[in-house]
This record gives sequence, structure tokens and C-alpha cells, in this order.
Amino acid sequence: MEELIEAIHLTEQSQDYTSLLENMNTYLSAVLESNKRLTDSVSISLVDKDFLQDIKDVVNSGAVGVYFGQSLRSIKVVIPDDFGLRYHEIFIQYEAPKKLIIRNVHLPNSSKLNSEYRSIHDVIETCSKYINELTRYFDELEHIDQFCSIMEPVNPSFKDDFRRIFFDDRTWLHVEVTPEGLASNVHLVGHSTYWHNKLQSGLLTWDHDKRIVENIMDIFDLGMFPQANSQSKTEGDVEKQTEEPLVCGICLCSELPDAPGIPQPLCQNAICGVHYHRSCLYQWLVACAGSRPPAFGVANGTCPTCLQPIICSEKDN
Amino acid sequence: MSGSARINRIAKEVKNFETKPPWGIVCIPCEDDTYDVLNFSLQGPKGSPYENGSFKLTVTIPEKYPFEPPLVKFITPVYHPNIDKGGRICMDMLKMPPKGCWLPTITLETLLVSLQTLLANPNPDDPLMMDIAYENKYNIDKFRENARKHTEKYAKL
Repeated sequence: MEELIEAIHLTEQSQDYTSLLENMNTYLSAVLESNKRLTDSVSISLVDKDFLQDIKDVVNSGAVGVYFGQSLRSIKVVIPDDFGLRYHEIFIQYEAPKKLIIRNVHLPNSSKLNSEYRSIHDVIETCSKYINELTRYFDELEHIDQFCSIMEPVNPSFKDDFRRIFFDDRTWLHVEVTPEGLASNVHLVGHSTYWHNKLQSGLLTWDHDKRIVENIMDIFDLGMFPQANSQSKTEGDVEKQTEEPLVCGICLCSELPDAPGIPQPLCQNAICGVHYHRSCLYQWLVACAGSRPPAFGVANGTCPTCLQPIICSEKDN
Repeated sequence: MSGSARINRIAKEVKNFETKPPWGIVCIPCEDDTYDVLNFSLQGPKGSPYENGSFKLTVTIPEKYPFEPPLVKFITPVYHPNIDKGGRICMDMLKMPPKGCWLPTITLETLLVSLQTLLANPNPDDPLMMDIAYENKYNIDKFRENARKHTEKYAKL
């Protein structure tokens, strides 16, 4: 700056404007140069270059799709499985340099997914390995979703490792699928002597070499799966959409914000068609018994609709 | 049930009163959205001595609703064997079991319609007001006359 002022003074004396312009030019380029160096040093400390390089590598490899969310810290990676049949979305959060966590993924819970990762590449490697181990799991769930009316979960995905299959208005079948693609914890929800007897006599003949859907069809002598008509599963069907969803007789709602599950046919009385949330019915039966928690977590009392005896356990199953 | 589920249920019930109100029952909305206290006006049932009256009620919704019955009180004075001078009501449906017969499946609508029925059909065998119950049991004409006059005086439409 001082040089420039001096140059101006000199110019005033000598009336040499050309040299003044030259001086100013050198000075301004020097300023610009130093500013550039300034921004460079700032960006180096703010941007995680390894992370950028990591993203570049992953994108350039072309094997997976990479997308960004609201900020550059949330990243979505789409991984195809071995045969390219399914695409799995993995939501990654950048916490700190070399510290990435998986925020959400439509895969069954596993300790494998709960650790911290050093790079996106690591995440992809771990998930790809896990996904390829789960091939039979995906196959079985897809098969079930394709053939059966699913009552629960409301929006089935690979994250949920169980399905509740519609049998009739009062009875559902609960099936859990292990990561190996085998059925476990098969039981009925609701009470029906007919289905119950079939399950009792058929369960021992369950053949793990056959698919889950085939086993169910064999055990229960089903030619095809019953379809739930009360709830519309088809999208875009306006008339069906306006139809009231199944509500709980106690809270008058279908889904509760703080309790999982939808209303179930819990009353054993065949004429009583009222569904309840397990948590609502349990709370009522306990309140009736003077708010004392019942032994073994199983409350009994009378159905608040038909007044027939009813039992309800605190937890599902 | 959490607070939000409780509010969900009450909001649904209040909306139901607006869309398809039962005969002679009007829900008077309150300013706040917490739904802790609701106001209602109840028309006396036809053919009863309360026929031309409009009765004001407050319904207090407890924290544990619907696992506990709401607290219903008449603001307008009523001449009735099962309703005392403070507006308290003796009705099975408003008490917890095993004493009463409150059920979580009972809605405000069923409750208030039952209350209308109670007005038309007093239960003098389980009274709150002994003298009115006695009158209702043994001198029904005088009871009807008194109830009609009382309604005219306090609850005229």
C-alpha cells in the first residue's frame, strides 16, 4: 500500500501516468495473488480431501449409484446385488473425518451394520457382502409378499424380518424369516380352532428344503392364499382409499404414534368382530384390575365390546 | 396410551359431533385445543317433563381417558332423582368397574345419548336425591309437574 501511495506522489511530481498505471497493475496482481493463497489455505482445512477422493473413487468405479441428501454430509448409495435383481439403498451420514455411520438401510438389523466406517468404500464392501449373504432371505420375503395378503408390517420391506399373513378376518399367520431364508417362530395371531389344528398337525412336517410359501400352503391345505378385502392394498384406487381403515375399538385410531402394530382380532368370541391394539387392550385390562400389573405379563378380564372373557399379554407373542 | 393418542381420540369424537350430531346434542367448542374440558348442550327427551329444556353440561376428560371414564356434570339445575343439586350424576356408565360399568369402547356420543335416556327414565332405586326419588316412585304426577316447572324455570330453550 505504501509503495502505491509513494508512486502516486511521484506521479504528481513527474506527471508520468504510464508508470503509475504500471505500478497499480503490479500492486493489484500482488493483492489478488495473496488473496488466492488465502482462500486456498482455508479450503484445505475445511474440506476433507480424503473424503472427496473417496467419493470420486466410488463414483468413478461406476458399480454403485451415489446421491446426496440435503447436505453433502448425507449420502445415499445404491448397491445392486450379485445378479442385479434388486437394488439396495443405504443412507450414510458423514460424522467426522474417517467416521461414517449407516443411518438407515432396508436390511434386517445386524451388528455388522452398527459399526463406524472409515470410508464409503468400506461401507459398500461390508453391505455388499451382507447383501449377498441374504439372497435367500430376500427371495423368501419377496415370494411371501407376492403370494400373500400381508397385514403387518403395513409397508413391508426387507428391514422387517417378519410377515403377518391374512388367513381370515380373525386369524393371521405370523412368520419370521431368518437371514438364511428359513422360517422361524411360526404361529397364529387370533384364535381359530380350524387353523390351529392344521398348524399343530402340520408343523412337524415343515420342510426347510422347500420354500416358505409352499410349506404354508401344504400345512394349511391352501390352493391359494385368502385375500384381505377389508384393507385396500392397491394404490391409486380412490374409492378404496377413502374406505375407513381398521381401527382399534379403544383408541379409535388405526396406528399409534408410540406403539407398534395395527389393531388385531384379539377377542376369542367368534361373533365379536372388534379389533384392538394389543397395548390398548392390555392397558384397559390392567386398569380394570386396579392398575396392578398382572402375573407373567398376561392380563385377563372381559372384552370391552362383547363382555366375553378375554386374555391379553403385554408383549406380542 | 400416550397423550397424543388420547387427543387423537377426543378430536375424532368431537369431529363426529359436528359431522353427524345425535339428536338434541350439541358440542360447544372450547377455545383451546387440549380438550381437557368440553361443553355440551343437551335437549330434554321428547315426551318427558324435560322436553322443552336445554341443559348445559361440562365433560372433563381425565388424563387416562379412555381407560378412565370422563367426569360429566350438569351446569343447568335439573329436577331428577339421579342428579343432585351440584349437577353430579349417578349413572353406572360413569364409574370404573367393578362398581360401575365404564368401558373404553363407550364414546362421548353413547354416553350423552345414555344421559338423555336417563333423563327420560329415572332410576329411583339408586337415587342421589331421596325426596325426588320418593316422589317419582309414589306420586309420579306430582313429580312430572315439578320437573316440568323446574325445567321451565331454569332450562327454558
